[in-house]
Amino acid sequence: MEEDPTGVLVVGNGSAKRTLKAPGHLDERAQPFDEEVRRALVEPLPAGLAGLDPALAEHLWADVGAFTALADLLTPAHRVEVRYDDAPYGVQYWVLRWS
Amino acid sequence: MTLRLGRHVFADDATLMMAIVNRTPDSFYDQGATWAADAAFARVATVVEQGAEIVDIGGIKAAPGVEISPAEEKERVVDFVARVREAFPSLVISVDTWRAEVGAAVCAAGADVLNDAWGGADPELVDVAAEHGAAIICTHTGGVTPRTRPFRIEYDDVVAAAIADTVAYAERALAAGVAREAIVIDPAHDFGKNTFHSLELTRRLGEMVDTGWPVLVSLSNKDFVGETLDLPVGERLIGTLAATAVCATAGARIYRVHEVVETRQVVDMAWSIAGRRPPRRAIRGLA
Repeated sequence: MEEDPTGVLVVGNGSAKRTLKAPGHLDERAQPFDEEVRRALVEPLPAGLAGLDPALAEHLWADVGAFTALADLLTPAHRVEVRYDDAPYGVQYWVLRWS
Repeated sequence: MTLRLGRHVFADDATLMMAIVNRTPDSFYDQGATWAADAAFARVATVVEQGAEIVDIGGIKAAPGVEISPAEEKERVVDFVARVREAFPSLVISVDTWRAEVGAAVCAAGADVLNDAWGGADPELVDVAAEHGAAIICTHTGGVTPRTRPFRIEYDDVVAAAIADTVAYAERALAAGVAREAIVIDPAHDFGKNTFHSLELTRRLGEMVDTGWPVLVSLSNKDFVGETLDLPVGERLIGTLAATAVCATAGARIYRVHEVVETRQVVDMAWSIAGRRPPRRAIRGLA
């Protein structure tokens, strides 16, 4: 990463096991897991992002690896704008902007 | 190449209709219409009447869902195979299963073909085919676990991957003792593939045919047709037949289908255009 970046794009997604028709079928743990991620992203809670369970994320087909880097970037607190928060096709996506 | 499907032999210019018969309560196309044994049997009688050479009997839907044990799967298909065998001695009976245990039971009951839609997930299935003199369908799934949906799978070259995997599977079957003329390869549209992959496999099917192994295609009403035309299940027949025509022109030998009559006409027409089948009659301008 550049020393003084003007902006950072962090790409990931929540679980792909949110519904019966989801790519990974339904896993009951997916919704609570995504809720935990959502709270950490929206508050934001850097410690919560850093502390996401990678094994559970992998099991739930959630691509949250890059969110660990996000944890550092979000300290100290930022203003958060939630532009999208939904799970179409059984996959949880967010579009958020921190400034 | 001459095809030997269990008890049955077909000339090397023959195309074959494999009609899908679901002994499931939840398959995507018929939603359990032939779940009851008598309804499934009536479906067999109908497709035989329509000219299908093969029935493909399945006890587990491909999509994720309630886990079906080997015992439950056998309960659904074994006695049914025996009943069909007795009623239709000249019909080729294929069973759609990836499990060796189920394969052995259905072969004992009279099945001719093991259609392994999950690409060799159970390594012992080839031994069962060899032991019973059954044919085997070797599919490409990109290595996914049975009954899972594809999720952002990437290939450098999906056709090369399909050829490499199905030919390797075919050679493994050969080494296990399955007769060369009883081995068929299938690129398995939509299995471990997105719509772009399935379209490319269709476009380049000739490369699979060029391997020399007989090719089966299973296109019927699948999602790649539905997504290409943005049409739901139930409105995909015309798109299916367009894909069928392309595969027939390329030289596919076996067509796994819901609609036998329509597919037979398309395949016959395409084979005649390709110069592999004479017209049924040719009087016009010649009499």
